[in-house]
Amino acid sequence: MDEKQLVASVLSGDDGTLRIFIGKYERLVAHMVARVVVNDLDREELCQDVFIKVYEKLGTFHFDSKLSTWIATIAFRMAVNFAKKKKLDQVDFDSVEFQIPDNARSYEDEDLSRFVVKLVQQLPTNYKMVLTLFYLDGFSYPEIIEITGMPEGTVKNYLHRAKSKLKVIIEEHARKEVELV
Amino acid sequence: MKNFDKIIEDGLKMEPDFKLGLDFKDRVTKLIRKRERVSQRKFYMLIAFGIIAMFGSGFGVVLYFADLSAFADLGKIVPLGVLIGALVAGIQYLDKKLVKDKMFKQLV
Repeated sequence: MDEKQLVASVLSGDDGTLRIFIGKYERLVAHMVARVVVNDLDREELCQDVFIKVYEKLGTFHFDSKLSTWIATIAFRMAVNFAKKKKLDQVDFDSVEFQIPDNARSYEDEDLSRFVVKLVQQLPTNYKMVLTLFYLDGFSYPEIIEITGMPEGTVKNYLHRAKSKLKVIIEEHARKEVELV
Repeated sequence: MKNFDKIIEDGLKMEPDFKLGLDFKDRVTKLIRKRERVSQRKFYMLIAFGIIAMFGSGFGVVLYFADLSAFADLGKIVPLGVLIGALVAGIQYLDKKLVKDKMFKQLV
């Protein structure tokens, strides 16, 4: 079933297709929400609200972009608004002071990668979102620009600055661990 | 020497711990349908209220200002009202069958 058939079937009121539709995009919505919201109950509620909004607006979707891009746009806006409302995003990129978890004492690659996830969680919302859209969900630059409404330069700058900052922290952490050993 | 770029990229590609419950789809579907029913009920109530308000105020105006003896023959125009109602319903049915359904099929 292609996107047009799926949307038409959802709009016709078929419960089975609506479930398929939600199942197809729940991973994408969960990724975006999980990066911004910390509490699991809030995450689940926000995901639910995103899908309700998507369903309500589905009749206005004219296939000008991919359905996933359009859904991600709604999820992005709702997640950012949630963060603003709950005052979760009060940190400026340059002033981020990373909290190093106590259990981050391993030098193994996989543990360092997990450590990266914990660091990403501490970045400002827009940075987290751009990183998630690019690396986790595989969106292209034009798609990220459409989803976030940010200029291309800003998107590339966010990716570059976030990666550079993470690299500095990881390298420093790894060096300390080696010194301890 | 560790490849930190790869470690960071692997970390960025790592799935978050958070997973939606297996029944998430069912819960959202039920919730959407429930909200639809509530909004439909509100819509019908609003329509009903509008109709009652319109006819009620019209009837009130007539009662207040008109010479009621002039409405003695009102019963005679009831069949005409029924005929107009049937005509409107017929047009609505044809519109649904010939225009809206066709548009929906084209969309699919």
